[in-house]
Parts: sequence; structure tokens; C-alpha cells
Amino acid sequence: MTKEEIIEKVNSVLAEEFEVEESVITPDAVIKNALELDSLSLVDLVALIDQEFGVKISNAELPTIKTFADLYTYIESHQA
Amino acid sequence: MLLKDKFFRVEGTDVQDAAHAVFHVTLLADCDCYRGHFPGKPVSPGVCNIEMIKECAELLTGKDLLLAAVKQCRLTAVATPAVCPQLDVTVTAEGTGDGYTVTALIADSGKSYMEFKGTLILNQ
Amino acid sequence: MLYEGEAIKTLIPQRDPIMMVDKVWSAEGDTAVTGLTVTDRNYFLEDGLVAEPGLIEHIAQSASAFAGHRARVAGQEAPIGYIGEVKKFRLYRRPAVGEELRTVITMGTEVNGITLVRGEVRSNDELLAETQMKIFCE
Repeated sequence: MTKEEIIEKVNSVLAEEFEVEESVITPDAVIKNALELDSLSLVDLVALIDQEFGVKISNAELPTIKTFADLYTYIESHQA
Repeated sequence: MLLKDKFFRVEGTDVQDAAHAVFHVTLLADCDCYRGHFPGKPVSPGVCNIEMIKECAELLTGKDLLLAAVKQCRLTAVATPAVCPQLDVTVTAEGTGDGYTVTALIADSGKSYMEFKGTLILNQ
Repeated sequence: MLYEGEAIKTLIPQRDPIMMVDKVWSAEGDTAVTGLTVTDRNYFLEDGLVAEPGLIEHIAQSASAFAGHRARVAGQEAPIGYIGEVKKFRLYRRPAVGEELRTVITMGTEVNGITLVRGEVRSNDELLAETQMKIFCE
């Protein structure tokens, strides 16, 4: 997948799962705030990225992914 | 009902209208579920709190209901008859034809213990 | 068959009258198969059928038994798990006394001690209920 395809797919699946407008998902937005994540819904986010992209985010690397831009880059560099 | 007057007792009800009510309940410490959940460490089973919401929805609607689907049910704190003997179960039941879309909150003055969204259908 | 009857007590902390697993058929990788025979002493029995929260509890205890088995294999104490969230539960049919439930548990993503679990309860290959849940281990 190209970066553009990743961005488009991430935005649409996250907007649907977390019931937010796609407009709140911008590259510089902080994921936790935009999606109103807590410790439980954070598990849904990680599971969804695994399911949709086959990319497993480890517990160690999770704190380094803060913004949506961080997430796009992580998926791009870890996709099979 | 499976757990009314066994796991919980309704002490009072504030009915706002046909779709909204708050049930003031007491958790009954002598319920036999605590013998096994867990021995020497009574913790209210989360699924019993789900059943309590269902039974409160039945009291509100006056219908025999089945829990057909849970969209999301969060257990936000551990409930026990010692920690939170008095609870408020706030239930909203919007009719959908063959059942109700139910949202509910179990809480006391200090905190919330369960947030529930699901579908209850008529048990026929 | 990996565990049956009394041996289940080495895996989960729940005891009578609220034990809702009586067999662990298999556990391999991220998947386990558990069982429960519905008796007339079942805690969640109403009009001869297991009420919906009983099916959710069966799935939760099945996941707990799986986690307990994994801990034993690793030489650790069985953890006590709490349900943090039930999501996307669907009921298709309530089982009756005498039915033998067979349940597939799949352990999914784990983040900071919270594990996503999927459970599907069947009786004679008929799907009775399914859910996702998140379990905290302490």
C-alpha cells in the first residue's frame, strides 16, 4: 500500500470503529484525544490495525505513536 | 426474575417517563453467588450486574425481555456488597417495535461501575 | 481432553455455585476449546434455559481457564482475571438442561495487561452466542 492508501484506510476504519467524524483525524492530531481513547479502547485500536493491515504494534513501541502521522508512518514501515 | 430479591433488591424507583427511570437498589451480601465468586473474597459478578440492568429494564417496560445483543458494556470499577451496597441503576429503554434499545448506568454517589448499551427483545 | 471436573479448579478461582466451565478440551497457540454440560443445578437457569449472562460468564471463565492453563505451562500461578468490557455480544439461542456446550476461545491483542478475547459458544455445531470481551489480569 502507498502512504496515501494507508492514510485513507486508517481514517475510514478508525472513524467507523470509534464513531467520530473523519474531519477530527488530521496528521498532527493526538490519537488518544481525537478518538477519546482510554486503556480499553486502546486495545481496540491496536487490534484493528492488526486486523486491517497485518501490523502488530508492540507494547514497547505503542507509546512512540502519538499522532495520526506517527501511526501512518508506523504502518507504512511495518507492512508486509 | 433470576436475580431480583436474591442478588439485589429494589428500594425505590424514580420513573421519569415510560422510557426513563432510576432504580435505587441494594446489593444483597448474603446472595449465594458470593460463595463461589470468590471464596473469602466477595466480588459482584459483572454478569450479575448485566442481569440486574436487564431486570430493571423489564420492571420499567413491564415486559419479559431477552438480552439479544450487547453493543458495548464497560465494567468501570469492581463492585462488591461491601464497597457499594447502595447503587442507582439508571435505565433508558427506547422502543424499536420488537424490543428496546437500552442504555444503562450503574453508579453510586462516588463512581460508576457499569456503562451498558444493548438491545433487549421481547421474550416470546 | 486436558482438564475435567475438579482439575478445572486449578485453573480458575470461581467455585460452586457459579462455576461455568467443566472441561478444557484443547489449548493450542491462541485458541482453546472448553466445555460445559448444562445441569439442573446451573446458577443461571431460568425456565430450564441458561440465561444470557450465564453464557457471557461461561465465555469469561473459559478465557480464564485458558489463561490459567497457559500460566501453569509457564510454571506460574493462575491469574485472576476481571471482565473489563463486553462488546458485540449476540445471543442466538439459550441452551437447555442436558445440552453440552462447546466453546472456542481466541486470545487476541494484548495491551498493557488487557487482553482482547473472542468466544463462540456452540451446541452440536449450532452457534448459540458469541462475544468479544476484554479481560484484565492481576
